[in-house]
Amino acid sequence: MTGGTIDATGLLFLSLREAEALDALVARIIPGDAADPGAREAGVTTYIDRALAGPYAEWRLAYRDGMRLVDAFAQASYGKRIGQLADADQDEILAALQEDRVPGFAAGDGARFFDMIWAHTIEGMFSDPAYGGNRDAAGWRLIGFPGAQYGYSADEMRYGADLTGKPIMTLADIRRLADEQPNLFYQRRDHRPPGRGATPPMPPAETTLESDQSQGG
Amino acid sequence: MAAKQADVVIVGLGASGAVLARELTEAGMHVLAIEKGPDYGPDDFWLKFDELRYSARCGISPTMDTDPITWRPNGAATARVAPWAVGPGAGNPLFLPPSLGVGGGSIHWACWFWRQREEDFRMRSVIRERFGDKVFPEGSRIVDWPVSYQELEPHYAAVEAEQGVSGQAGNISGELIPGGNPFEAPRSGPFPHPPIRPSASNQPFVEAASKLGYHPFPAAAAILSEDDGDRKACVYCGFCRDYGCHVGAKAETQNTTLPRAFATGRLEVLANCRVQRVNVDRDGRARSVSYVDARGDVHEAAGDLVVLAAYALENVRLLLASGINRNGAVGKWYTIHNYHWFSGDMPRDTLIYAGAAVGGWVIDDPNANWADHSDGAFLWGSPILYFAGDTQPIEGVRNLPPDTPLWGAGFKDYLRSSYRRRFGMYSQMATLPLESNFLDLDPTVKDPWGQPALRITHNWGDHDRAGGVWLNGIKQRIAEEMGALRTWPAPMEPPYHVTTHEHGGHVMGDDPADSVVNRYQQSHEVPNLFVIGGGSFPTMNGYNPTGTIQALALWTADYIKQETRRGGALTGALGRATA
Repeated sequence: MTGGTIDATGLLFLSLREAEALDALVARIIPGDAADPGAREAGVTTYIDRALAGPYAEWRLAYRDGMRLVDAFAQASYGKRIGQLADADQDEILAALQEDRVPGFAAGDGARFFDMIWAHTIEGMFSDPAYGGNRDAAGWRLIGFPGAQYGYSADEMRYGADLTGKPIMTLADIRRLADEQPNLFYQRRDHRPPGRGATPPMPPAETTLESDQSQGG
Repeated sequence: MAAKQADVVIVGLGASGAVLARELTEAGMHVLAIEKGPDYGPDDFWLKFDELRYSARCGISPTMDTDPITWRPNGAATARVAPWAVGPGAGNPLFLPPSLGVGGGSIHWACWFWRQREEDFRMRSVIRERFGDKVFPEGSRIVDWPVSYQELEPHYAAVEAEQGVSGQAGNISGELIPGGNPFEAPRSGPFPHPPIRPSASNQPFVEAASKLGYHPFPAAAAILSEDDGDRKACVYCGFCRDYGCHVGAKAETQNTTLPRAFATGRLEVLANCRVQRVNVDRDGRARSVSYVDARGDVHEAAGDLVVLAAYALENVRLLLASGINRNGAVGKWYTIHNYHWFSGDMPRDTLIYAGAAVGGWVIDDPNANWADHSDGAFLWGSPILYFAGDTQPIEGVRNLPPDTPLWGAGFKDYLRSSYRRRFGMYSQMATLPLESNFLDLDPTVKDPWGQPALRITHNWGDHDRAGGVWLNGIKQRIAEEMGALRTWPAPMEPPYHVTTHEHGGHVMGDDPADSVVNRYQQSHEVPNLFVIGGGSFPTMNGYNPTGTIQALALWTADYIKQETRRGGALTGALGRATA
């Protein structure tokens, strides 16, 4: 069920409706609840939305059209949008997508859409929380991964060792450690000559703030 | 008119180019190195703990949008941009060429450091002595190397010292040392550092392999097991393959080698500049290289010597794009590794995420000519490497056992129980040099700067399958002895045809008619051009290649220095530089 977990004000690419439909699907890929978080609780939809707004721009239309077809299939089959359906009905639609049975897709494309959502769900669930998913390291807790650890001791690195009590670290924690104790990290003289080397490419003058102002904005 | 001028222009400042640059600058030559990727600073990998950025999105590797490679299974098919490397979720730097940037592939590498066995340098002779001539497949070119282990040994030792290799010697001057690899070629001395800490679940592997009669030993690692100068000992964070090191423990040449080259004042680096061709004069000598800078402007850099050190694939592409292929040998005898990945779950937590991959021990028994290959099914074995570290979650959970549900409660159960107990084994079965596997320029696909993409024609064959079945049988017996709950092998014919271990294409040989470079990696066709790296390997073996690539770079550097001192064939200007 939808449950209003999508932060609409924070959506960067998806529409609210698209986000709700996607959230329903990812929540069935890795189901969860507050006590045992899954993809929805971990913010996987937020991860995918941010990725589409940035590095995965090439998949924008695939998501937009794909979610439209999935929602249309839900309407045709159950008379409701997918986000409003019960879990079991959502499962039917997810299975249909995986098996390439959702109408409107070219042959094979529905299954490929499933594969893409699946791949991005894995990324959102298990990448650093900085990317918008894996909230409170829910994905890492689920699988028993301690995160961005500076290192492990010989005592920890034993077969059968239980590291579930080890505080999980994220990139933000590593950043803090690097700020506070830079001597823990690699240091050498920087060979790169300051102020020399290749001239970096910059945007053309007509696109800069200055030229905007000169045109009276 | 060339914008830049140097004694030596080196294209690619990676594992081998950096070693050569250091040798030549210390010998008094002025070196201009042109590197496609960025020039990383000492703190650029402090925050490298990011699987999405560096592994899933291949953050430091050449990807298909900027460096397209096309592939087809045979000469009759139409090639497509590497299908295993495009599309959502396809990202894995293991199936691309190595990382770009100053340091090159030595940034991303997992740091297995091998000396080839003596037999690997004499593959044709060894096979013929054991099994006769009848086993050589039609259309193959299995040869002895034009350089021997004995000739390279001092260079292996020098590379181990410079890069700070950690390991356990198995054979010093013919005396077998307990605990090392009993099949190792004789070494002149021990490793500079003791072995790194083994993977958390290494002990069950060692016990099982030993019980079955194999001889497990710690793999040599180009990772520091103890502090050395400004480089710190490994802290076993587990973000190793595909990542720069945050403590400098990994032997990345921008940290290990280049500081000495820069200290001479004779090394200049042009980063983010892509070399597009070598310009050859009418007298048949390389005059310069053309490169495009980050602004898209094309320049020329002239050198008395030109060295291509840009990886086997890019070296071949540059030779072909430059029209340097009079004898038609460029691009031939392309060889790669089939990893025959083998995964399993153990009853208890393995800490698959911790420590270096190379912390898994190895058995070298199945390598080379150990088994009876007289039926010709396959001719050369491979070590089996225990792999139970350096595996982050996205890669780990995507490695699905067969019949795993992809969603729902069953999938969640899989996530909860499998990753934490995961282990792997892999081998590195080398493909044979065959006429049917080769590199050329794609007739249609170009990079964003209009340069032709490299085209790979390659397919897995009966040899690779027979070897994989045999090696996986050994892995399965070991896994059962370890008490594995379940195991699953990767497909015998994997989808990838690039593995960061590409070899051949500019093979070395004594005969200018059927090889591209001579035993010093000097072009037969253009005498002041050197083409170095794994592309020079005339045959491939079961080891990770970087140790040999770096030893060969030192061997080549020695030759260049000697020729220059003799006032010999190489150049006038180099004579001036060191007079």
